[in-house]
Amino acid sequence: MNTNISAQPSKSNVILTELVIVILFFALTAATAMQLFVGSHLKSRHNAMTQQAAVLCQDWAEQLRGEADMAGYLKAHGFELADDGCYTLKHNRQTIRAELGQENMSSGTLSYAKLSVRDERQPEAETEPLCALPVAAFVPNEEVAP
Amino acid sequence: MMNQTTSSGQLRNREHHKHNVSGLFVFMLIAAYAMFSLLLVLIGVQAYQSTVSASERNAELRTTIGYISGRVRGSDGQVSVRKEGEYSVMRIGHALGEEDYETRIYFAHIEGQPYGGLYEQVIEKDEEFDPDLGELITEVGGFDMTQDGDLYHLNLTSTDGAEYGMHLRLLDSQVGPEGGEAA
Repeated sequence: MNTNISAQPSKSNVILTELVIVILFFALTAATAMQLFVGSHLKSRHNAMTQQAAVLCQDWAEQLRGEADMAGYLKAHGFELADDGCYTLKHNRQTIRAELGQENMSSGTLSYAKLSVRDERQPEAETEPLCALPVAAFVPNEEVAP
Repeated sequence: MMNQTTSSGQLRNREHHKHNVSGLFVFMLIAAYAMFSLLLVLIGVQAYQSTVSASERNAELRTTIGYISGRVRGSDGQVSVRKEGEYSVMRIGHALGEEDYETRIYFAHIEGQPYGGLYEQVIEKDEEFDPDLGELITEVGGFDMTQDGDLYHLNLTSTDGAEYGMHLRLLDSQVGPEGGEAA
C-alpha cells in the first residue's frame, strides 16, 4: 500500500519532466524560427526599399539624360539646394540627392550628375546609399554641331 | 483502528486533490504550447505573405517597365503615345519588308478580374485600333502613359494598389539631330 502511494508521484514527475523538456525544446525552436522570420522580414523590407530607390533613381536619371541645364531642371521640379552644394528632394520616405558637375570642352559642354538615394528607415551605420546612378548630357558647340 | 481509517481517507483525499492540480497544470502547459504554436505559425504566415507580396509587386513593376523600356530603346525613335477612346496607346513604328507596321502597347481590363493587363499587338500601320486583337504581356492593376516631347511618363498601379511613376526618354541616337525621329 505504501509502495503504491510513493510510486505514483514519481511517475507524474517523470511525465512533468518530459513535458518541461518538450516545452524547452519548443521554446528553443520558436526562438530560432522567430529569429529567421525577423531576418526574412528585414531582408524583404530592405529589398523593397532598394527596389523603390532604384525606380526613383532611374526615373530622375531618365529625366536628366540629355538635359543641358540640369540645375534649372531640378529646381523647377522641386529640388532644394543643400549646404554641401547638392540638390535634394524628399519623396515618400526616401531622399534623392543630385551632385552636379560641368566640364567645358572645345567641342561642347558636358553636364553630369551623380544621383543617389537614401531611405530614412536605413540604419545609421549603413553609410552607402541604397542606389546610385551617374547621368550625363553633352551639348555640342554650335560651330562643331553637325 | 477508527483513527487509522480516517487518516487513510484523508490521505486519499489529499492525493486526489493533488492529482487534480497536477492534471490542470499539465492541461495548462499543453494549452500554452498549442497557443504559442499557433502564434508562431501566424507570425510565419504573415512574414511569408509580406515577402511574397513584395516580390510580386517587384516582379510586376520590373516586368512592365523593363518590357516597355526594352521596346522603346529597341525602336528607331518612331514612338508616340495617343489616346484611342479610353485607351492610352503607345505606338512604335517599324518596317517589315515593304510594309510599315506598328507595335501598339496599351492597358486593358481583364474580364471578370479586378485588375487588368498590359497588351501588345503588332499590326499594319493603317489598321484601326482594336483592343481585342492584343496579346496579354503581364497582369497589372493599372497603367497609363503620357508623352511630353521625347519624354514618356509611365504610371503604373500594381495589382495590390501600390502606385509608381516612371519617366523614359529617347536616346540621342533615336531622336536625331533636330529633335525629330532618327531615320
